[in-house]
Order: sequence, then C-alpha cells, then structure tokens
Amino acid sequence: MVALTRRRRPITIIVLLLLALVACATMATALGAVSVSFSDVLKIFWNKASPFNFSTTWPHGSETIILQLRLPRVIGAALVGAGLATAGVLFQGLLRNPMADPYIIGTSAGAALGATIAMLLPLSMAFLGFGMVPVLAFAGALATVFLVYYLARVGSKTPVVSMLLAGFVVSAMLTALMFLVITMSDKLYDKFHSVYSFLMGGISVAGWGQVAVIGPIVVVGILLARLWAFRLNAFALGEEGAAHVGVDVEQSKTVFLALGSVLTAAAVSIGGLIGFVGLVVPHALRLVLGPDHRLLVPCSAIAGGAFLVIADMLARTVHPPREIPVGILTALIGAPVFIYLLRRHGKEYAL
Amino acid sequence: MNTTAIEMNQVTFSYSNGAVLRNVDLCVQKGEMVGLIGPNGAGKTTLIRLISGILGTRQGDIQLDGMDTRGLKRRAIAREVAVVPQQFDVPSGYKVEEVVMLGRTPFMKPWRDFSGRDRDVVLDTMNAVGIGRLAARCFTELSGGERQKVVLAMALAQETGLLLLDEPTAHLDISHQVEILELLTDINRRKGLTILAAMHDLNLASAYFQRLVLLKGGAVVADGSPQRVLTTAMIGSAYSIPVHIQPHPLTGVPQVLVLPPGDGHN
Amino acid sequence: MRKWICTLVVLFVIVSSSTLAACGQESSGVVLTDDQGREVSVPNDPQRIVSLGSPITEILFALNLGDRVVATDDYSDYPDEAKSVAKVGAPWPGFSTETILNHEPDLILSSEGAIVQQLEPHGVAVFVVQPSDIEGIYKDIRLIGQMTGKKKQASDLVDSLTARVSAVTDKTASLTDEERPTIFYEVDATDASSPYTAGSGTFQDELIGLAGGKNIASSQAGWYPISMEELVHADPDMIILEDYQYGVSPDSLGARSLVWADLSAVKNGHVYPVEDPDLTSRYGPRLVDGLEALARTIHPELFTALD
Repeated sequence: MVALTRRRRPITIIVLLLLALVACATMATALGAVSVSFSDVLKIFWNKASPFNFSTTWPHGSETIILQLRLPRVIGAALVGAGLATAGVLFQGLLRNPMADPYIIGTSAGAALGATIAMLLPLSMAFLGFGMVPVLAFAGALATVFLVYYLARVGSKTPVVSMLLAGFVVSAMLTALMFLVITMSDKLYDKFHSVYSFLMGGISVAGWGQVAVIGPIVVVGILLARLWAFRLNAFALGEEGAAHVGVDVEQSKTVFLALGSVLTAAAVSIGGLIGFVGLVVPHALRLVLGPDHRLLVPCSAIAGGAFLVIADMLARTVHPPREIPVGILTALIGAPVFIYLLRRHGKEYAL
Repeated sequence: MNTTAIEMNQVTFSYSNGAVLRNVDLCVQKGEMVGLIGPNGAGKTTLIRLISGILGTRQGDIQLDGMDTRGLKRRAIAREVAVVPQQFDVPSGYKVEEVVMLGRTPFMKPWRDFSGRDRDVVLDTMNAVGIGRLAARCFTELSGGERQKVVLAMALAQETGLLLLDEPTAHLDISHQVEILELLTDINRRKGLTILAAMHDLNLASAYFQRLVLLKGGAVVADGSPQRVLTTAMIGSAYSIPVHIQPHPLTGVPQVLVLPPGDGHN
Repeated sequence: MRKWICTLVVLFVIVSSSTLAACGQESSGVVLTDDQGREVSVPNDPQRIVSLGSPITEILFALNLGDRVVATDDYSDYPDEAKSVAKVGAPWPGFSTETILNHEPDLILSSEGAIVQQLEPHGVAVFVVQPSDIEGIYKDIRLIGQMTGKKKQASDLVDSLTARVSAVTDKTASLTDEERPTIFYEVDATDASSPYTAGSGTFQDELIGLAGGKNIASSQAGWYPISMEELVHADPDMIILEDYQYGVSPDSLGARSLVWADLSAVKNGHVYPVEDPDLTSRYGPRLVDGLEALARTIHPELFTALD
C-alpha cells in the first residue's frame, strides 16, 4: 500500500506567505523619498491602531506622508500585484499555456488606448474620486475583452485558439490606434511623460480613495477565483477531458475570462501596464507548489502582492525624489528570475 | 430498478463536414461488456462522444440509466459515465496521483480540500490498476503502457456505473494490451461495471468481449456474439478487404486473418 | 564604347563645376554661431525667412520684419498678423521638408535642432534659436537683428526688455529668504500622485527666482515628476498652475485627494492659475510679460497692477 505523498498543509504555506507580505509592506512603508525613522513609523502605526498613544515627536508632515501617502500606496501596490498574479494564474490555466500573461487577450492594449485618450483629449472630469485616466483604462481593458470574446465566439462555444488569435489582432489594432492618437495630438509635448509613465507602469495612488474602490474588486475577484479553482484543475485535461469529469466548460471559460479580465482591468487602472508579475509569479509558484490551482490562486495573489510592494519600494527609493516607473523594475527583476527558471526546469518543456 | 445502462433510440448525428450517424439503435444492459468495432470513419468515436454527452444528437435520444442526457448537467453526467479517450495529454508538472485525483472532480466542493474518501478512492484505484508505485512520478515521464493505466485509473476514480473507452489498446505492445483488457474484464466481473469499448483489434475484441457491435458508414450492421458478428461476409464487406475467419486453436473464439491482396486465395 | 565614356566624363565635370560655382556664390554672407554651437553661413539681408518656432516669430515681428516672414510653424499665432502667414507644420510629428522648401526661403530659423538634418542637404541656411535663459533671449534677439540689418531695433528691444526686468528685480533682489514664498509650479498633474514640475535650469525656475519666489523643486534639474512625499514635506506657500489651460482650476486641487486638500497652499487658497501659458512657456520677448505676471502673483504687495 503506497500512501499519497504528503504536501505541507496549504494553510501553513498561505500563512507563511501572508507574514512575508506584511513584512515587505512594513518595510516599504518605512522607506521613501522623504526619510522617516523606522521607530517613528512604528509609533505612528501604533498610535493609529491602539488606544494607547506615544507622544508625538515627529513633524505633522511625517504622519501625513506615512498614513495618507505611503500606506495607501503600498496597499495599492499589493492589490495590483495580487490582481495581476491571480489573473496570470487564471489565464495560464484557462489557455493551458504557461506563457500566458494577463495581457494576452488584449487587456493591455485596450487599457493603454483608454488611458491615452483620457490624457490627450480635452476631457477633465472626476469620477468617484478617480480622474478620467483610471476610469477609461478600466473601461478600455474590459471593452477589449468583450470584443475579443465576441470575435472568437462560434455558436455557443469560444475556442481557445480563436481567443488567442483575436486577442493578438485586436491588440495590434488598438496599439496602432493609440499611437495614432498620440501622433495627431497637439498636447503631446506637455503630456508625453504621463503617457510614458502609464505605458511603463507606475502605481498611481494619491490617497485612500482609489484603494477603497479597487480593494474590494480585487479581493472579491481573488476569492471567486479560489472558489472556482478546482474546475481550473480539470482544464489540464483539455476541454473535452474537463467536460468528461463534469466541468461545464463553456460556463467555466466565461467565468475565468471575466474574473481574469476584471482583475487585470482593476490592476491596470491604478498601476498602468506593469509587466512580468502576471507571468513570472504564477509560473515560479507552479514549479514550487505544483499545479493545484486551489493552492496556486491564493499563493500567487499573496506572492504577487509582495513582489510588487518590493518593486514599488525600489522604484521610490533608488533615485529620490525621482520615481522610476515600476514596470521597468519588474522587468529587470523578473526577466533574470524567468531565465533562471527556464534553465532550471527547461527540460520539462522539451516533450 | 433500471437494468439498462445505455439506450439509444434512432440517434442521428452529423458534423458540419457531413460525417454521419444514421438511425442508430443501441441498448446495453448493466454489467455488459460490449466491444464496438468498425473501420475508421464508421462513427465509433462519434458514438462514444454522443453517449458521454459531449455531442448533442440531431435526432433521437440517449438515455443513461433511464435518464435522458439532454436534461442532465455535465456534473450529473460525469457521475454516470467516465471516458478513457483516444488522446490524452497533460501539461508537464503533473504527478500521477494528481492526474488520478482529477477523476474526483465531479465530487469536489469549492472550499473543501480532498476528503478522506477521495484519497481512499484514488489509492484503491491506483492499486487496482497496478500503478501504486508510480504515484509520485511525473506523468510525462511514463511509458505509453503506464500512461494508459493512469488514464484508466482516473476514469475509474470517477466511480461511475458506465465506462466508455475509445481504442484503449492502440499504441500499446501486446503484453500491455492484454494487461488492460484483463483489468477491464476483472473490474466488469467484480464490480459489475458496464463497459463499452471501441476496439481496432478484432481478435482481441473477439477474445475479450461477449458482445460486439459492428458499425459501418454510420449505421449498426451487426450486433451480437463474436461468432455471429465475425463472419467472412460481415467483416469482409465492412472493412472492404478479403478475410478468412477461423476459430482460435486453444480458446475457440473466432479469429480474423487478413488475406493479402492478389495472392490467389478464394 | 570609349567615346561614350569620354562624353560622360566631360558632362560630369561640367555639371559638378557649375554646381560648385553656384554653391560658391551662396557663401557670400556672414558666419554666425547658433545656439547649438553650429557655425552657420547666413546670407546677407535675407528676404524670405521661415520661422519654425513661435518665440522666433514674435521676435521677427517685434523687429518689424513681418513682411519678410514667408511661412511659420502651426503654433505661431502672435501677433495677430502672424496668424495669416502660411503654415508648414509642427515639431511633432514633424515638419514637411517639401512644404518648407516650397516657399523658397533663404533663411530658416528654428527652435528645434532636429529639423537641421532634414533641411541642410538642400543648401538652405538653418539657424537654431534655442535660448536657455533670459540672457540667451537677448543674445538671440541681437543675432537676428544682425542677420537682418535691424541691429538698432534689436538693441532697442533688448534695452526695453532689460529695463522691465530690472523694474522687477530692483524690488526682489534684496528680498531675504523668509520674505520669499516657497512655490510649487505645477506643469501637469494628470497623475495626481506624482505631479510634473520644473526644476533648476528651466526658464520657469529662473522666472520664479527673479519674481521673488523660491522653487521647491530646484534640487533636481530639468522637468520631472516630483513625489507627493516631497510636496507634503516642503508644504509650499503657493501653488502655480500652468495646466490651468487644460481645465485644472484652483478649486479642483482639493478634490484630488485628502492629502492635496491638506496642503497649506490649498487650505489658504494660495493657488494661482497661469492665465496665459504662452507668457511663461514661449522663450521670446513676451517672457518678460510672464515675469511681470508672476511677480504680481507672488508679491502683490510689491507690484500693483503694472500696465
């Protein structure tokens, strides 16, 4: 009688990852363009969290910086990282392709076009405390997915290959449109850096308002993804195989597509086009934890959050007071990690 | 108490390119082990896909254990019938036990991890099929014969009353072919599992299945014991090739011998 | 066969020497150094001038050279007469060489250096006018005066500008640090979490200094996005909105986020729009108008409404 191999209990892994995330977040909140001593940071947190207060020995500005600027920003980074990593897991499982990332079916091109239009056209309205840029980026990302889904649909089915092809084509078209808008705009000189920042990726959180809206979307999205994760496991057998073990394939595809898209759209609306997180984090975790999506979803979310918190911290502290776009850092960190993984586990792909 | 595992009434189906099943009637009792034979393109795979509910009929209906498949959700069908398909691919990184565990999907609840029962079933099935020692191995590293056993174990882990197999012995060497068929026979006898298998090897089909259904051109042309179905006329016309039938020297079941063309036989 | 080759060689010699001769004729003129350090051979008394830059157009018209301007870039709209001059495009996405050369210019003055490569091969004099501070503007005015035989007018113009600048600096030069309000100059805040501002070495920075203010962003050079942390830490006395032209009003700052609303400048209502952005972003004579406007904004107690 051979016993099934024992893996460490899922709860243990998740708790460990959460602790790591909290540690990263604390460190990231303590560091930034303006230096605030670590003990002051802890005291500020303590004062807020408990009835017992330390006497205030720091300038009022420090408290604003820590509680109103850095903390929401760090949480925003964690949300964006978690959202992108989870979306990556979903798309990699859905498309049965470890090279899939959250942008593969065109969400990035749609978001970029939306953001560019918001930046360069004479629109200036606030919406729920958000400027036009995050709103149009979010809308652009979702609208693109609708378009791709609609284009790929044949009868009552949406073949995966059609989705990939449609995604590729729509991306190319929307990217071209975006460049057209940029070329025809006479505001480009003044707004170029904004467009550049968005395309390169950067956490754009100026207070708690955005976190309060994006937070619930991302958290609920991750929970729903976890709920449906066992169906995603079955997709490893192919669509027909999954159907044989009782999964309603078309319904599941729609759900995973919707979840992945909403998570990506939410992430992109406050983070711009940050690459690599959605590709590398799920991939690396799969190699370590195995292919069970019920573990992969929550772990990718937490690890993705921690990864981006660190990357954003570096973006803010490498060359103050300038901020390097986060997308540059995720690529610089993510690419070598990916290459290492490829070399170490490459033989698995050589079937 | 329903004794019919499968009942197909005047089932007609066509793909868009015109491949067709015409007016197929089929009735399989519980506990039967039926072999489905016929040339390529006769509709064997289509038939299996119709029974498993992957395809929907154009006309006619299919009942599984008395229930019309059109009214059943996928999850419900998956508790009735399991399928061992012709092609089976799993992405790299999956262990054998993880693949077999996928057979428990119809019983999964969203938040719960695998129950003790799920684990037991998976263990038992792996042992019954003889791959217990491979549990921690990577699926993609296994040989063809071992993989086929894993796929079988996964289907058995679904604990259904009906098992469909699409050419389960293709690509296997003779010892593995026999092993699989012995396993199926054993499970059919011990647990009363109804089995319907598309077979490409007529002699193995003859040896292991008490009932054969011969398909040609999308229609059932013969249905009965190997002695009734495997005749020179039947097989010769179905496969469009001259054959010679003779009883197996030891077991007596009909064996099909192919006559090479132009060799002056009559 | 040899006969053909000989004929070709003779033809070639004739054509090339006449081309050289023609080129040679154009080298009567003055050699001046432009703002990119290039030595340009400018023809004497140019009559057909193309201006690729709105400040250059303004200088030309201020020197009464309007009738010699045959074409300008799309943005040259001051003075009013400039609006009706033929237009040839904009730096972005690029000028059309054909259209420019179609006007048969004998001198091209450009604010951008990129156009030089496009136009030089066609044998027209291209002179880059790209001042980096107010002194540079004076120098360029004098150079243009020299090129066009308007030395006196140029000198008068520079004198009047210098006088107006002195009228401001006389009062502000002696201000102490405490008397200078700290200023945040907002160029663009599309991303409200890291607004774009003008650092040291920019015209805006120079103007703020001359107008008696202190630019909080001068620790870094050039234009860059400043982090909100820096902004909160510096807590400037005043915020000046250059992006007022894009619909950003002083009232909208508080709506961006609680942190913005908490800034002293926003709470005290010391947020001022730049009403005419051309005055602070066109590096020509009207920059002095911009300086005066800034001075009135920053030190209303020193500068009651001038002209």
